[in-house]
Amino acid sequence: MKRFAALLLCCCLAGAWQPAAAQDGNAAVRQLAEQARYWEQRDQPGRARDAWERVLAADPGNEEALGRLAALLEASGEPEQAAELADRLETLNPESRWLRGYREREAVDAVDPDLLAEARRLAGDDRPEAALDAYREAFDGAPPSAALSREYHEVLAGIPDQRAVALEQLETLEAGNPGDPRFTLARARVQTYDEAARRTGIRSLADLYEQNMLREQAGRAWRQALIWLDARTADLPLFDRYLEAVGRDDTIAAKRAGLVQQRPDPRQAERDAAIRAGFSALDEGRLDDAEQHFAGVLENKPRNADALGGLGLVRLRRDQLEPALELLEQAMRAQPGTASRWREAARSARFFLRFRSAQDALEQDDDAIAVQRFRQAFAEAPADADPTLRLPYAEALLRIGDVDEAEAMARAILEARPGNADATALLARILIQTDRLDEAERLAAGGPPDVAAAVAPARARALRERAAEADAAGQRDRAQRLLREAIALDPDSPWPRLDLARILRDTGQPDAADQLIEGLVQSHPDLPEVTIAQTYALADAGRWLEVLRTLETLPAHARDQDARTLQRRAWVQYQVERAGIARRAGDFALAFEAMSKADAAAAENPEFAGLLAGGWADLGDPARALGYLRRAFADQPGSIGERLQYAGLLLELGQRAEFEAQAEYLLRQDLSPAQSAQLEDLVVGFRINLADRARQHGDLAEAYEVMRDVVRRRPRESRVQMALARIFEAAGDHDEALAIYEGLLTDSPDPEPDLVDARINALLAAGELEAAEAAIADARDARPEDAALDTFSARLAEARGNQGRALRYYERAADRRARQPDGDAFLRPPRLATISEADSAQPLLPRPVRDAMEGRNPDAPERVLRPRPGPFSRPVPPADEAVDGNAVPQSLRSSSSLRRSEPRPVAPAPDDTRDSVRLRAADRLTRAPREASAPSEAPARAAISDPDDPERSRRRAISRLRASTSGWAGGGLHSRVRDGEGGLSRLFNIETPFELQSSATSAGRFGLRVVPVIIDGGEVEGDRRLRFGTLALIEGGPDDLDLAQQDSGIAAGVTYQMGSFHADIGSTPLGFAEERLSGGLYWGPSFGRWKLDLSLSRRPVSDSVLSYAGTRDPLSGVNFGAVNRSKARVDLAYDLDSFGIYVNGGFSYYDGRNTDDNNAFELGGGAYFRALRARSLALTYGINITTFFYDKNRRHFTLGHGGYFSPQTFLSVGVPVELTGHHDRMVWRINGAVGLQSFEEDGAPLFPNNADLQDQIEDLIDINPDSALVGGYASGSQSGLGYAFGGSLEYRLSSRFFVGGAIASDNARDYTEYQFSGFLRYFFGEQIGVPDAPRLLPAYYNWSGS
Amino acid sequence: MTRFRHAAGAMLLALAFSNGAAAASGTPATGAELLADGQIARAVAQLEQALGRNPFDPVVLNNLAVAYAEGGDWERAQSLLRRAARLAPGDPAIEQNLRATDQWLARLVQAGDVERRQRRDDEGEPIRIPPPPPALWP
Repeated sequence: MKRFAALLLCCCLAGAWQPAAAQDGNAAVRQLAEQARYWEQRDQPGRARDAWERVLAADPGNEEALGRLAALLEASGEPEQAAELADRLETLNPESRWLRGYREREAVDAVDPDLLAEARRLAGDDRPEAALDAYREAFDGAPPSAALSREYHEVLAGIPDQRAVALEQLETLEAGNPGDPRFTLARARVQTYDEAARRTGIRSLADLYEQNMLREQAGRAWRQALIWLDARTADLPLFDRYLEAVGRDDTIAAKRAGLVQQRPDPRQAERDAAIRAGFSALDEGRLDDAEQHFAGVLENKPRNADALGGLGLVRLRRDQLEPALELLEQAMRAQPGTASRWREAARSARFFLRFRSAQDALEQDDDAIAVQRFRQAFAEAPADADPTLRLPYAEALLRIGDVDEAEAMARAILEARPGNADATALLARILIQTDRLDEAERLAAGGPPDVAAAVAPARARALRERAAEADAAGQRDRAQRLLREAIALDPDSPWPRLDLARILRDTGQPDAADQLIEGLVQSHPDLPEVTIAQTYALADAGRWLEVLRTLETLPAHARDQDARTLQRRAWVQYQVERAGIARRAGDFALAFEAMSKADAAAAENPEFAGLLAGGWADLGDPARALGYLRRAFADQPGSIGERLQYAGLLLELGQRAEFEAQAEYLLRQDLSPAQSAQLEDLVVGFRINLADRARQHGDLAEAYEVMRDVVRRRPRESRVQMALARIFEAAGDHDEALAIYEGLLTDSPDPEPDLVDARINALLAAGELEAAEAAIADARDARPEDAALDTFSARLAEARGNQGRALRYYERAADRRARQPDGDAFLRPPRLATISEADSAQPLLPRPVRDAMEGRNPDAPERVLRPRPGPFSRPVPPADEAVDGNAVPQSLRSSSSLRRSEPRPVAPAPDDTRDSVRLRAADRLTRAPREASAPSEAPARAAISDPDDPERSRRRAISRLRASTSGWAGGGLHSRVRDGEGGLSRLFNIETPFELQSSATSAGRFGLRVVPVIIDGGEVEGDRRLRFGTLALIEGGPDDLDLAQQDSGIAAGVTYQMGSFHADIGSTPLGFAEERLSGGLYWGPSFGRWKLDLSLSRRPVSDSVLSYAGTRDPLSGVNFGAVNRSKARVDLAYDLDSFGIYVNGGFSYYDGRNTDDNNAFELGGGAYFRALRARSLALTYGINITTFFYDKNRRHFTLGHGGYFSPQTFLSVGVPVELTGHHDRMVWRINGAVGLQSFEEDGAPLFPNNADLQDQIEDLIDINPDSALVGGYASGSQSGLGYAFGGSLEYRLSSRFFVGGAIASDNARDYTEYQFSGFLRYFFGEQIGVPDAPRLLPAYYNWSGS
Repeated sequence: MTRFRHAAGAMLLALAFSNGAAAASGTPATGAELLADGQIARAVAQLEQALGRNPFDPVVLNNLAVAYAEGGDWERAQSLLRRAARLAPGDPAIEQNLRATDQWLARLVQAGDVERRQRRDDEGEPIRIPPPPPALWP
């Protein structure tokens, strides 16, 4: 108030004094005003106020003084006084510019001081953007005053982008406030911020400093500007001015000293000019010129920082980042003081180098490395780096799974560059990847079309996943629809097409599937992804070679793990497929090679187990196939398909128990209809297998029971019918079996060989040899090389008795089997043995060299190869050999029981014509048509035909036939004693037969027999002389007459045998009183169960010396006797295994030397029963009826009689019993018979064929009726019990030597005969076991020719 | 005596270490050992290399033949075994291997004959065997 009063006083004084001193006053007012401004410019408002008050005092209407003083009062918190002065000024001049200053001051006062203080604090913290915001908030619009505007724009100048605007405003403010050094200071200070305007600013600051206006602030800014200044020598005056005005300043002085040192010389000037020219060219984009200028400088001054930096910038502009960075860094090192000029450029170069390196890593899918490099790059990114550069960084983050950071980065980019298509696409992909498809689609919908296109593949992928879920759930239509949508969204992606193609292929539309893929392939032939998809589609179609060839077109970098896996799968598949084709083409070597390679490529991968198992099984090695599946199942359970395959192999290999377990397991599974059908097929096979097994064990009921369900379910199935037929065959019902086979043949126009063979087998078993022969011939037309048919031919030949031919067929079959593949064992490759390589450390020499060395050095090793002891020292035995080594020898294999279907050996029955015994005890029993056999031809007890193992059966048959057709040599001793009258019917007979038989060939078997024979009937003595020769005519003759009845000789003959035909011819013992030819023919064909024996023979009757050898009648001197029996006989038998019946009939004609001829008929018959047939024991009994009827009774010993039993009626009913058995190497037989027999004899004349002698004897009787002479023999009859018994044995000394013997006795009421014999036989071929019955070596007397 | 014991102990210790070192160094497996281990490809490579060093080594020839046979190449195995048999006549292992190989190839040929004949009878058209596949990728 005091001031105001003083002011008023001054005004009044000034007003009063004005007229007098107006001119001087004006000058004083101006001076005062200057002072006021001075203080105000120096920010001393108190002094300024005083000065202005004095001005007002001197000049009350001074507008400036009113306005400035009002403003100062307002600023000092005296608004009333300020308002009063302002009102005065407004009254004087409403438009006064000083009034505006006051008004501004008012506005400034209206500013929120806190906000203003905050803005200033932020500005002081070098946070210009925040500070500006705070200023704007405080001002609530434009700065309210020039001072605040200055302040504001000075802060704004701190932002480089805004500096030009700020400077412009400050210049305007300065112009609007002339004389106000604060505005000048602000403008000059801002100018020093930029290099271009810095020197101007410096000069203004120097002026202010020197004018002592705001001196302190101007001095600080001046010094700082000089420090900032990129000084050149031309700037030396600036430094000199500063140092002159301010005084000592070491920093500025040092900088000046540097400039002094750089004082330009002419060459420097040239360089400077060149550098300036270079930068000008660079600014104008003439990079070549710029490079030329900078390079020129560097030629002379390689470390010239400006040239280095300039050249670095040129490189940078040319995008040669690495050299650019190197040059810029060189520039900074060359002149650290100016390093800041290049720092930003170097930073950019370094950033882009790292950025590009990261991009390279990203392109090479080294995502982690890419992220690392991006991180390094953006850690030092240039301030003005484009935010979109972070897109690949975000992509890399996404790839390594750092989805959150990737998303944040994408969103940041979008925030900085709203609507950026790439950032939108990336964010959309991230959203899709994180299952925010809807948000992604919204993003794409609002974005540019290319973003929508970028979202489409992701959308397609999502649809594809949904389609896969639908397909897995069995919703195929939905899956197809979703996949078609996916294809529409992303038509260039092969994967939805591949999925859809798979569904189409599965639903039987392979062409559509192919077209789907091929369309894409045609449009994108070089796209690896499309190629891969194409190969998958080809693999789905099983076109493996195409898969492999297509994969070959893939470039190396595209052959990723998936492609390699597919290539291996296709490779293995193709090799297995190729092996199968090669096998069918007959190239087994290639087939095995392909399978082996597939095997190696599969590398025990369980994925390929089923495939390889199928391949090996197809190639005939089911055992290996089984092994694959077993190994695979050890690792994982295996699919239903593989299990079925496994079960099939188990069945094929006969592993029934495991098959049963597998089948049970499979039955519990949820099988498809096709799998169920396949399993049932296997089970049917298993049942058939079981039935066959039961059948082989003789359990036919079990076999039939097993097959019952199968037959009911599959009555028309061939294999079922055949299994049933085999059971019928085993039961002996060959007719039923044949009916089944023939029914199947009728239904099958192109029958399987198994069926044809089964029928032939049945025909042979049924004895239908003709039909079998025809069937074999038919089959041979189709299969000329089939060993099985040779086997059938062998059996046929054997059935017909031609063992030689049978053997030849069997051997041919065996030879063919050896050359022909047969099942898995044949086609299982051998395992070769490795040899230890330890010794190969010393190189072995080739043989010629070794030989040469051996020649010089006797100590040289004998053998080059000398494996060292060790794991491989011994050759590893091949697997098949090891198996063979454990094989049971054929001869030791247990024989199974004879099968019904086996051919019965049909041996010719011996000519049962021995006429010695009256009770023919066991004849029929021992030669029952289907059981009897010739000694050397009896088959071994081992099975001769095993339809379930034809090869073994064949081997056995060959062994058996080789044994039975072997040639042999034998010798024996026979002794026979027949009770009777000495010299007449008594007989003692010793014979030592020797026999040599050739081996049986298809041409037959030939033999030679030599039998020394000694017979002795005793001497004819006493009354017996009256019944000998013609001695009755001389009443017996003189006593010294030698009537000993004995003789000896050697019988010789040859034999021939062909099948059931036998022939022999020879002589009776040479040396006998009478010698004659003997021989016979025999044929014994079989017709099924019927057996017919036909024989014709002429043989000596060996009942007595007279009938056998003949004798000499001492009275007449003629020989008589030596009766021959010429006989035709037919035997017919019908055998039903457990029993049989037979009949026979014959006619015999008897003739001899001086002996009455005779003839006889015979009829017989009987039945036999096989009561016991154990493995080593057999008991047979029966009933036998024998009758014969001789025309004449010629059993006496007078001339004309033959000395042989010749009743007119003979009837014998007997019960024969036979027990045979074997033990170890011995076989034996005991036989006996008991029965009733009855015969009647007619009477006979003494000399029946000589009527003269008969008349003479009758005359003698008439003359001497009391003599003992008789004219003939009375008739008679006799009935009684008869019995016979005997026994024989044979012992196997070795496989070729056999020894044996026999005893026998026949007894009747007036007849007793004992026989003893022994023999030794040597076979030229090895024999199997022992025969079914002892094989005696017959004597000549009981030689039947067979 | 004590000194002797110490010396013997030291020798044993040295032997133990030397053996251990040898074992640790891992002598390369021989071709036969590789074959026994089922490593056919490696065995073939090693045996081929050994054969390059000494083409007259019947042991290597034999073992290489075994390796090829394991890989299904029986014809090459046969050729190698014949050479081995000429170089080491009378060696039982080589003879046995050669015999088994001869028989096996003969059986394959016969089996092929039968198969071809049967096919001729059945269909009358020869089968064309597809070409070998491209090389298996590593």
